[in-house]
Amino acid sequence: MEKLHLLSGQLLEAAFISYLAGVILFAWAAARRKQLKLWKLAWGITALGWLSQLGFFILRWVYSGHAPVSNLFEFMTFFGMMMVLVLLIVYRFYPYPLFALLALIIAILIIGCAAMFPQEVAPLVPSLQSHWLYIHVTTAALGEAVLSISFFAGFLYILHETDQTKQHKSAWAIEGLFLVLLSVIGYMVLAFLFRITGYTAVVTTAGETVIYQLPPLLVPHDTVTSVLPVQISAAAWMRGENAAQQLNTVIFSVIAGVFLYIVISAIVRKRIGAVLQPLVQKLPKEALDDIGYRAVAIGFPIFTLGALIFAMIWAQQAWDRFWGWDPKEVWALVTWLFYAAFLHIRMLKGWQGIRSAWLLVIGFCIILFNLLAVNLLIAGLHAYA
Amino acid sequence: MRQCPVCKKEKQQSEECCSQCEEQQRNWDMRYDGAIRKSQQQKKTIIDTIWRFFSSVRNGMYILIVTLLATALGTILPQRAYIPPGTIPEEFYASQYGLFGRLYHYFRFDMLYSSWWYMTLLGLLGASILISSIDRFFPLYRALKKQPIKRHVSFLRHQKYIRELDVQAPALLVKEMTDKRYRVRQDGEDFLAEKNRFARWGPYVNHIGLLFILTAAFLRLFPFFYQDSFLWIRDEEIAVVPNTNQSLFIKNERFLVDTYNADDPKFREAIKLEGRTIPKSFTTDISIFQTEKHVAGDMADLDLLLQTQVGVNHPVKAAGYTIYQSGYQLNELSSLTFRAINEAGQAADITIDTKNPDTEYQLENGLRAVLVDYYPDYQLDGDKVITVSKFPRNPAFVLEITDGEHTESVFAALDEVVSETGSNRYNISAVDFETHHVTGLSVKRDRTLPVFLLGGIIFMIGLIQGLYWQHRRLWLHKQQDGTYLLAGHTNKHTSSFEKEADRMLDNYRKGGEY
Repeated sequence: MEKLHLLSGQLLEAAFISYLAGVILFAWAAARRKQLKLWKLAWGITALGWLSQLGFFILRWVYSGHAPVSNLFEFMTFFGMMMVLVLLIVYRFYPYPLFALLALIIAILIIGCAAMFPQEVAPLVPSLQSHWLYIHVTTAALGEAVLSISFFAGFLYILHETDQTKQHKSAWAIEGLFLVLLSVIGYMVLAFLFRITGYTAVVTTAGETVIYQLPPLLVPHDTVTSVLPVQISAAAWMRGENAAQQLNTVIFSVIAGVFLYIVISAIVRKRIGAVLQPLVQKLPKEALDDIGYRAVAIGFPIFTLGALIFAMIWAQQAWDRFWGWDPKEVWALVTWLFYAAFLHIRMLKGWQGIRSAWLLVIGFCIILFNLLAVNLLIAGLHAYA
Repeated sequence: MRQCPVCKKEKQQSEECCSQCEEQQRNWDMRYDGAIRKSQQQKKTIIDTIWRFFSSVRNGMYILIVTLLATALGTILPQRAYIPPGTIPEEFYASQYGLFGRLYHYFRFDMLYSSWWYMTLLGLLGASILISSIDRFFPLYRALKKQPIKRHVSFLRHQKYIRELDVQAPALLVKEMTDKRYRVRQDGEDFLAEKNRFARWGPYVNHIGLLFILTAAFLRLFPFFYQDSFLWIRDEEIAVVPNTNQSLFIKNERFLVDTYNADDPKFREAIKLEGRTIPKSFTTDISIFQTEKHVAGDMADLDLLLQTQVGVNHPVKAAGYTIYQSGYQLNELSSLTFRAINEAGQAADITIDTKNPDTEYQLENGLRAVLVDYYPDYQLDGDKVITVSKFPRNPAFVLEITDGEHTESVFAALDEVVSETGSNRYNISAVDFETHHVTGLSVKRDRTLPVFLLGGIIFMIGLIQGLYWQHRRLWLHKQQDGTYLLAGHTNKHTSSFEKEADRMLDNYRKGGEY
């Protein structure tokens, strides 16, 4: 049995490497003119990676005895896996390497971030012991993955349409999005580096000891001893569990992101958006607009079914009420209300194209907020996942 | 005299009529084939104004977005239902979150989802859904029910998809259309090909589903539809379910907690990381009794209805109620025994039952104890003693012990006994205690659940109907000069519709070569 566990971990690593290879091939395909063989190869490698991840999922399920969607590590890897699946399908209809590239990068980032959370196989607490665990979570993840596809289309649409020759708000907003993306990459690189060097720092506060995986630049307000000569105290009102430590991670990620951004800007001597625009403009913008709307039209019912209806049926069984205004529930509702609004607003005059693309960006931010922030910042019944 | 292409009114001045229709078309892109909705009529009474307000999708979206923001606002700080039990909300928010918490509590954002204004928002949303649906349904129904096959050229030229064709054999083009599952009707030399009209009703169906859900939420306010109660039952005790007219009783035969084995190689790491045992199951063996007429205190006339086990995720249905395992208390103290020893070395035991403590105890050696105060779950709050719950998890008593001459007041708990009079006449300490488990059962009768489920199913059907299919129409019109005009309309995903239509034309042209 132990071997099974080991093998499932290796399959995930193999999938990760395949996806990285997919990124390189898609990037190459996007930069060059139409080359069917290269396009197919990129798709094939990614599909292979997906099958490998499916193997990871199945073996982990067999080993642990329950569907591996019960904590943040498992859920985020599954979410990434669904994203890759949807991307593979969409690519058959809209074979745009650049689009696939963006989707794959985001999927890799999500799977990479997942690896930062505890990966141990954990037993299920009583409230999670239900078939609805995997019915609800898998459907919700699939719905969110399809909705994410709409963000990729929206983002490329904005990149396509924004005039990069002038200084204005939306050009800088795009750079802001790149900065966020680079910060996530920066976080992964930092966390990886500090992990392989085995770095830990112990900070003692009045009540407890906190172990940092990154240098403790920002420490809790009641810190007694720490390791760095320079440090900043967090505000006293930050009382969330490990709030200072998490903010410390965010600060480091942003610093790393800014660093990466400056390095890239120094090399290309332009805004990143301006560099990528010629590539994006090879894509037909109508198709991007179409993908964005279609993804919402397809993803919204799946999301409704998985994240609300199935969730409510399960909640009624496990917690004796189908709705309890728990933060995770509420943010699923907020996501749902937002995409419902999107579907209506798009029908209004003048809301197609660029404005609806910006809405799709906001929608994805809400999904990510629900995925991460609600778990990390707002403790609730879903604290485990 | 010219005829207005859209509303077909010939008598009116053609210019005015057409500009009006054109205005509509610009706004609504032929969604209702240019038909006038009730909200667009010119009458102006108060009802019309209200109707007009709620029928507007734009206004509906304002309401929806305000609702969305309000919903998100409620998650900034925990709702009152999720703050630690036993704390005073005002103090909790102020001490945990400072000024912001104080304001949050002051504006009652800690109970946002049951506030009158949140309810009002949901009501407005319901009104918007209802009125905008009715306002659009009838004109759409009329427009789609009686569709003329021959349309005026200007109507056709208003469509987004227009192709001028030289068609020699329209029957072949029609065949292409039927191959693509279009239903084709003919009138003279004009054709109308249509498919998936039912998709147009999707939004109305899903809005009906939403109205069911909102109605169910409203019905929940009435006891007939919704009743809930929570029972704490000690092991081997019996409790009556409230609001059942003393007709339903539940006995807790045994409450059981099972935990995962910390040595299990599979879960060892995770359990170590968690730092404590992880529960595997919470179950209660229960017996459910029902009675027609119950005389208080008499248990003999109870009929056993069901003997079963209730666990988390495994609720039990009985007598129209559903019983859920939803709480527990382990090792509550059932009774405490204190021993008082006087200066002469004579001992007297006091056993106090935590559920129904007596106020006076006659003890050995002529001692008497009076229970002055009782804190089931005591804690020190500065110099003050408070109880943080009503459960005897950490009980403390204030006793007055007297032998007739001397009275001594003591504060007695399991871990410490403090004399309040300071004279230490008696040496008092806890010597024994008994414990029990308590199960927390939630007993509910919710007759709105089927309505919610029905609403959910209708909503899903409507969503899929409206979003996974598109209504597509193609008009093939023979013009005066013998050429054909092909015009198309779809309610969404224009580009794939145009792709499909062009492919049909391509196929037709290829077919024409043979």
